[in-house]
Amino acid sequence: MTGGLSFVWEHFKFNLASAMEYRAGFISQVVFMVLNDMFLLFFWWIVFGRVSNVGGWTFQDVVVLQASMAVSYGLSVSVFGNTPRLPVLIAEGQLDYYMLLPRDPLLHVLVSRSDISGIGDVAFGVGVMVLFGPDGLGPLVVFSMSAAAGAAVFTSFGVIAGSLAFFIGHAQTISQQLAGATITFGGYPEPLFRGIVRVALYSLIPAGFVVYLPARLVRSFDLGTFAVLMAFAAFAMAVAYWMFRRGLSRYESGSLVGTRV
Amino acid sequence: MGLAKYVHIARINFAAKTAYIGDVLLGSAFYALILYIFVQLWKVLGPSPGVLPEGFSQKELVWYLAASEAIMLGKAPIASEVSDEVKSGAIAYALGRPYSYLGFKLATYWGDTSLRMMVNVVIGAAVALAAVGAIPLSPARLLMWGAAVALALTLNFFMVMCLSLSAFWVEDTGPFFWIYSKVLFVLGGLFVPIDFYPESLRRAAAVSPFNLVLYAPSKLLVAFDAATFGQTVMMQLVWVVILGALAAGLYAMGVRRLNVNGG
Repeated sequence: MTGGLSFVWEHFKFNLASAMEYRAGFISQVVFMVLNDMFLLFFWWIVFGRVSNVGGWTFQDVVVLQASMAVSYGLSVSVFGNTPRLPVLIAEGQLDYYMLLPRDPLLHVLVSRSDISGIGDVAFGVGVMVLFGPDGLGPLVVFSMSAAAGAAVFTSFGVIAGSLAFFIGHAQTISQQLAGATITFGGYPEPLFRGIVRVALYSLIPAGFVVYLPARLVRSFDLGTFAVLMAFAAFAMAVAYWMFRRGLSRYESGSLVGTRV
Repeated sequence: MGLAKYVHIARINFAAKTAYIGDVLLGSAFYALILYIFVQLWKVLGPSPGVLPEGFSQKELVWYLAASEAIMLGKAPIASEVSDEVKSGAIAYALGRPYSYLGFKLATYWGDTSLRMMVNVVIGAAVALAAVGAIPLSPARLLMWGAAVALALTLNFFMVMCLSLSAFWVEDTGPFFWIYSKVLFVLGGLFVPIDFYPESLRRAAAVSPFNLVLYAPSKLLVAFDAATFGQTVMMQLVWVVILGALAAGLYAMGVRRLNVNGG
């Protein structure tokens, strides 16, 4: 476990250092992402200029919602940045490199790349949480832990969708659609969605676990809800790992010749 | 004959895009998702007193959004293609060919955009009809709305071309497009009509050309009047001429600086 965490951390540091070689590009990616996320708040600023709540959610709740989405997504793509590319790597037979090394291939694939703009998402989420979120250290601690769980769920669903490529060949579209739907639904308050859509948001599309439960926990902490979130994150990781291992037994190497530098 | 070749280029590009109709339909799935979410949002917000600005009912807001998102997601993405052609020097191949580079790009843009818009209009109308029912529309009104949308998309083309051609002078044009998309989002009134905005911001949006791309044609769909239509089309034409001349000027200046290495 500690070895795994240290492996992830060392890869992240390496990816970060290589991105910072191009200092201007690094800064512009991060800054533009922070600004991009701020524009998303513009819409809510207009809406809350006319109403005091949306289905019982206040502007502060929506800020927490946006912060949860940004940090969960940002952590996922900056630390496990190869997740969106997993279906392409599988379909093109590019996993050989990872299978020849002693580390777990899934973890190694995921951490081999970082999307640096994700750091901007994390900076935005933490920043607005500190500036506009609930006062006190408690909510910030709950926010950090539940956003980390949200990132684990988001990444795990990315792996599950990506691993479909082992079975159906091309899974990039379904993988993109799942991530897109999670992000899109995750940007709007939970009370807007009822019935079958609400069920889907806690099953097929994991927005409920990535965003709604973390936001609910920051609004009012409840140990039972917190335990459900953590248990679901562990379950999603286990399913993702199982699915990838299961698929790997069907994997066929590609004949593509390439170099890694 | 001069115009015929561009119509032909647009037709070829339209046919080429129909080969990937699955991709276009998947892109439209995102459009349908956004519409669904906003329908839910206005169902919750609509009954609250003082939420909707004068001239907009809940039904009209949904149709407004169907129109603005159809335009936003219907415009073909040409920015990176043009910027890459300038940076790589591939634009040099266009110099010896018997067409205007801007005209060629406009034709290919319309070939792609027209297919996207057809799909979006069908999906948008279906979602809006199912969610809130019909708004009063006549064939003549639809035709005039179509003209305003066509000018809006042409105006967008020239805005994007001006930004793309700046690649002759700056290395990375990516940030310009990012800013442009956010400016369209805010001053264009993508998610909410600019009538919702605080007065100072509303006035700034109203005098900018960006509202002519999204807000003005979308509002014409839900609150049509002949005077506003005339004014909108007139302003769109003025900006198309201004930005078209600017794009032509940038292209003429840019190709004089062109250095192509290798072959």
